Amino acid sequence: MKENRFLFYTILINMVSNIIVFVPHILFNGLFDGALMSILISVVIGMTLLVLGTQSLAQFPGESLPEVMERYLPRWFRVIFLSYISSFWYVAGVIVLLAFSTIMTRYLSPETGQFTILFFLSLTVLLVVPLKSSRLLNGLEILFVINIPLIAIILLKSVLEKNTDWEDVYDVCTHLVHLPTLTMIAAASYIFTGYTNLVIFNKETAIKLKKRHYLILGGLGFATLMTSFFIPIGRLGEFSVNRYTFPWIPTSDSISMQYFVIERMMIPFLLVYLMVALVQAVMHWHIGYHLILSLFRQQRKWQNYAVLAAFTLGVGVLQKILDNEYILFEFATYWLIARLFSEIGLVALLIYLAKRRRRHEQQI
Amino acid sequence: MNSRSRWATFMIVVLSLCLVLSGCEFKDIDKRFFITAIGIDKPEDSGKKYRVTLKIAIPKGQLQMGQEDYMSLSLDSDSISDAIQKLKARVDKEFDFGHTRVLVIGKSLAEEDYRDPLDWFTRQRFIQRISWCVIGKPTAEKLLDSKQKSERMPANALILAFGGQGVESQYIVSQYLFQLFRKSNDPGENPVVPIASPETSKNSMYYTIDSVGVLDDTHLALVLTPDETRYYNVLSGIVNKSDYNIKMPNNTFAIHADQVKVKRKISDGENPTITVTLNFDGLVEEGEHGLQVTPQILEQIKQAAEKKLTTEMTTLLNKLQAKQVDPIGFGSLYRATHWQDMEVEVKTWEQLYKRAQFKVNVTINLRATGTIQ
Amino acid sequence: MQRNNDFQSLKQFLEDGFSESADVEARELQAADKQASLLYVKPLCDSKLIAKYIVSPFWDYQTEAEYTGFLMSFPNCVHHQELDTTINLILSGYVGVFVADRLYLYEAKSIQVSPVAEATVESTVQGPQDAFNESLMTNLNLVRIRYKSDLLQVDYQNVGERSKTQLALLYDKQNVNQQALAELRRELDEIDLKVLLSAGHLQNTLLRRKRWSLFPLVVITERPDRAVKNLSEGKIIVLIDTTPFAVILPSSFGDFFSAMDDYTQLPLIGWFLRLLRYIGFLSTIILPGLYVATISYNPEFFRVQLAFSIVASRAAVPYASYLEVIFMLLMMEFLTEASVRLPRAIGPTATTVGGLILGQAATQAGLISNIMIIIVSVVGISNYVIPIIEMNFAVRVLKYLFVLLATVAGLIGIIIGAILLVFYLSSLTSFGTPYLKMVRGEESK
Repeated sequence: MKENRFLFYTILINMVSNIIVFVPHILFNGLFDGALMSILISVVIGMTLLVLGTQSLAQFPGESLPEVMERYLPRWFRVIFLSYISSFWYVAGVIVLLAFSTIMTRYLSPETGQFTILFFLSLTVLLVVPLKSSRLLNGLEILFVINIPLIAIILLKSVLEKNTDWEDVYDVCTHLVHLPTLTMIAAASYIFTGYTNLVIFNKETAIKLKKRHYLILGGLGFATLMTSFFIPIGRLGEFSVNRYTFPWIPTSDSISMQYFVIERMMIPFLLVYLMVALVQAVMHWHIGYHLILSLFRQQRKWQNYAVLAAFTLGVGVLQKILDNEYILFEFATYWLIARLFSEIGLVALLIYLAKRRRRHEQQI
Repeated sequence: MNSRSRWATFMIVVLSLCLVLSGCEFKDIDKRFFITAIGIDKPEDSGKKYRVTLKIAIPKGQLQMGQEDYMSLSLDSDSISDAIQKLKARVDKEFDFGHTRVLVIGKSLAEEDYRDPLDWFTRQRFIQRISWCVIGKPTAEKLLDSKQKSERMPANALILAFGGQGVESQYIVSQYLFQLFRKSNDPGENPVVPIASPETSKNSMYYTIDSVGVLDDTHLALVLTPDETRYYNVLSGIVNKSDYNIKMPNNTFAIHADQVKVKRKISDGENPTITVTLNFDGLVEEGEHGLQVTPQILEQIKQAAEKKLTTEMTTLLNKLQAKQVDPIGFGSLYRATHWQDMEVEVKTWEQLYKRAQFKVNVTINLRATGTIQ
Repeated sequence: MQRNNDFQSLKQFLEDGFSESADVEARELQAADKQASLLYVKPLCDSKLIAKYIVSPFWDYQTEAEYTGFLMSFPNCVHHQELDTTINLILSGYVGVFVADRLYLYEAKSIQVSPVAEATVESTVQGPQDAFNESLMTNLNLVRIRYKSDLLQVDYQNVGERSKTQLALLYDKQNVNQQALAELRRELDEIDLKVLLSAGHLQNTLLRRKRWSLFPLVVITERPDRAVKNLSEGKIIVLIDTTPFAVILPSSFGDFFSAMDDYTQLPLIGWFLRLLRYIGFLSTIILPGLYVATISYNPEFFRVQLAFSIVASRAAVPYASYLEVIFMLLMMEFLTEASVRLPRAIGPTATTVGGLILGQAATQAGLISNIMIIIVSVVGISNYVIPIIEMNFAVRVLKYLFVLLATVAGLIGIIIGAILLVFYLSSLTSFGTPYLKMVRGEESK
């Protein structure tokens, strides 16, 4: 369990950050048309992928994916695949940063332009990304221990608060039997994708997951989906919830802490999620960074700077392209769908590699 | 070492850049005016669409009761945002809506169409979702242009009156902005908004908030009397404690009921019935003519109370049905227990509500008679 | 006679070389059939010892052989011929006795130090009160009596070209962190110093690569009980002659927040105290920045009643909030620094005057707000909850960074600062062990 815990942290932080990546918003669009069914299906799909992925990677303790691929696969395949996959991680980080800078501009400091906030956030992420993976994981552990209790408190308070309309929640449950859609399945299965960070972090951890760990993870994922989905419905009303542009922010704003220094729950909520978003962006870019660096034959100092500079430029460019909230939302939706398929591809690759290794070992 | 000092220079350059870039948002707290309440009216005379009133707080030294000062500004315009921008030109400090807790819609505006102000309130990012919504009688302007003696802060009296933070009254219904928005979009439930009016008597000003307005899809449909408000509060399960006057042939008693449990049931079919069952625990609060309350009298009071409550609540429910409004949320309950498609459910409910019969069963368990018998 | 020649030349060299200094004594002892000469540096030697154990016995014994036998029977008497070693030893307080063509070096060190004193810098409520002092031998004594294990290894080393300060490395052979030990040895060999002044000086030279590091990577302590506790956990203690402080390495962030009180009191209380220190740490870093951020960027952060009282108290202040904060923090720094440097007679007056007048009068004059005074006093006091002084200083500097970040980016700046701080601390290593780590082997957070 000692080595497993870093895996747990990445998975849990990923689960928690689903709010930022528009997952609830996508689900609310199809509230009466199969959202709940999509959630249930995505739990099955997500957990399956998680189990297959982690079991395959467990065959290669202490090695990251590029190293494993170098051993078993031809170079051209490795270059193509890794370039493709690393772009996903990079775009994930960019979406988190863009979405969150939009949220910040809207709700916390409207007069500082979005560009300035994006600059600060990107700068922070860029400063942290080049650290060694083990150090990053240590920092992640600390931030996790700080943030997860706060998030748990927020969720608990939002459930127990009065003026939640539970009948709306029951009503949504009565619309369970509808056809799910691909978009919603892709969105909901984002919750379970934290394990893919292992492609680089596997170097620092040695996974030994047992059945009870998987059960806990599945339960947590399901619980996260349930809370992300139902709490805004209960508080904001099933008919109003998809009219809000970022449903969770007004949800947190609707909670008042009467006996505390801070009355509006929205600001602590935003600050805690800012930390989560930054940590997510750091991890995504760290992995993308290392994946790209592994493509070069020799490791030189200038490559690090080049990759970081490319990341910065990419953010600037994407911010200009996706400057409209609607466009950003659509982009994120398509990205989530593409991500689902790429994840399936990644897991297939991992299974293949694990089989190769077993055959290799049997030969020896 | 070389890379160290290069790194250091880079950091210094970046930090100085940051210093240059910042400062856009930087505005000290004493250069801001806090708006504690916004009121939107329909102006009678000018041809514009809205009259916007802002209640601006002017803090003064140590906070003491009744010594706070405020400024109330009004302006007519065709759009609310425009009015606020124009009002900004009249003051010396920047408006800060971060602490706006009370949103008032004037009664005449609510009677016409309340959706536009509600839309504006919800769309604005700086208005807290946990602001209180009020209908101002006679106008929002008059409600806001008033100061209650014991207030520590402008509009504090209104803020504390709602939500049970200050006074907990069975006649006051509190509605948060997010609740109002939620219910107004819900086809199965109609929102209620408390109505507040400023009144003066003997040199002191106070707010009377004892009735609610029931809003239907577009406008204020029905105003409930204070007694009806109390029944509404009990039926919705909002309020736990209530007091009633029970008139009996020889005496009048007052009972205090708490620990109320409400159960609602909808049965559809040929004769749809909506059954509401209430269970109270009560005790006798006030007697008359020094009469000793014996167990037999207690039993009589119980019967009379149950009869009275049943009748009056049924009347209220019928009244609501006649106006086709459903603030208690039977529609939500119907949808939550049926598994059809949304559009089908909404249509079915509309028909059902028109024809439904109400049955109210009240049981009161009078536990005690107060300190004396 | 080769040896005689060497001996003579040695003696001549030593006498010539040393005799220029006025405090070097060269004495001849002559009796009927025995002869000896003494050479020693007077301030370094204890004259009583010399009289009792070197001079008097000379007259007591009949032959030179008996005399030398007597001398050699003492544990601190050595016999050398090499020039460098001899010079070193004489300069360390040994007496050179030239007798029977041999040079005997007898240790007669006189150590001028204060006696074993009470801990002044790090004190506890209950628990041993003694502290290290400037003598290496005393310090070793204090450690050995607390750690009576044969696994305790002591290595000597000299550092400093001119000062030749003696260091003692102590570690538990079984438990020690081998990687840290190897790195320490490597670093000590590479030290290129003329004079070693203090433990802090050693700390700076050992970590000379990290000039921009704000955080201390080794613990400097004056308490033997802390040193012993760390020994049992596998750490290495470096005792330095002429300094009453010991260096403990490798250290991690949590070590700087633990005081010996945590272990002398009940565990739950120890946990509570530690929590208190972390809260103090957080409040001292974040409060000033939080003030700037909420006043100038997001006043809707606090409850409306609180916001109003802040507005009211700030009404008289003519300049921006961050200037106010920096001004008050600097005044606090001046007070603290002055109270350290002032001579005892003036000290209390100055600090009282400063505290009272700065606080009250500044508010009356409208230079700062009331809230600011409270914040600054809270910040100042919670700063000193941190037991180890180096971390204290680090935190004092850190809060200005947070104020800067808050001025530039408001609440977002504070969060960014927190994240950068956490990751920066995680990236530090202290002699091979990671600096900031939640869960460690035996140690608690």
